[in-house]
Amino acid sequence: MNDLKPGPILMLGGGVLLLLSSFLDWGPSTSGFETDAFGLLGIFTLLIGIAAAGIGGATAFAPQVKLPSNILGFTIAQFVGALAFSAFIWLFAFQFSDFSEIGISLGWIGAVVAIAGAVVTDMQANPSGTGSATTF
Amino acid sequence: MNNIKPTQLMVLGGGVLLLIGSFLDWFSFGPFGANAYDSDFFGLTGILILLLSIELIAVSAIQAFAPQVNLPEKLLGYSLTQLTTVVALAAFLTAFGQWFRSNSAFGVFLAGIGAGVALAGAIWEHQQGASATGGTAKPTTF
Repeated sequence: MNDLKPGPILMLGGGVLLLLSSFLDWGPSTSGFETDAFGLLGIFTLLIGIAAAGIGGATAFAPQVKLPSNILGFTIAQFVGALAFSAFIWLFAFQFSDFSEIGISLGWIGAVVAIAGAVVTDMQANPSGTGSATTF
Repeated sequence: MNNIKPTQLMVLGGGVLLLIGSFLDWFSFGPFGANAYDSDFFGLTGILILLLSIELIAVSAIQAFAPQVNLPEKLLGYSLTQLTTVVALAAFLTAFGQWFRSNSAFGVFLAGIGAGVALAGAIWEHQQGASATGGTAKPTTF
């Protein structure tokens, strides 16, 4: 428990926020699971929340659990970051629609937290993998 | 011009389809229709889709037609190919998820197909790059 790192904790927290947000109102008396209003976006948000929380939780509290090191060429933290970025795009976009409610706000905040956790985790694991100078 | 890869064309073409789709109706009900830029319905979806499609088009076009231009190799730990994959994934999930709304219209289907093509091209490109360098990204040690 003394080896807790901020990255996985952020992924866990962001994932839990995403998960919770999908059950809250996204529109007037309408949760994210109302497919007539939001299609599959609520279900995607739930699944991404579960993935981020699960991976963050397993990394932080159950290091004996073997997670895949590589998914389609991404490290597992990068993969969580990619999924959370996707959720951020549609949740942040809907924040500015006429009908947005608390679930939308909580969702994109959770996505930002999960993205931050994924980036911190990946940079701690691969410190040399950060951006290099760009020549145009 | 002879070194243009099919994967770059897939990302470029998919990005163009995504861009065109964002201007067509995403929602229709009788005579009424709204595209992705109708912020009452879709908030900033149209603008964000526009930005994502510009990234897909610009990066793939530069890689295909102006390879002398040096693009950043890495950003926040992601390689450029990985970033393109992430952008295409975000656009695809955003559009595909809305296929299942009631009264979805042609624009959202076209945008989803375009983003799907771009995503497939980006993943294929990433896999090619990984196999050319003898492996994929380094495993993460937690």
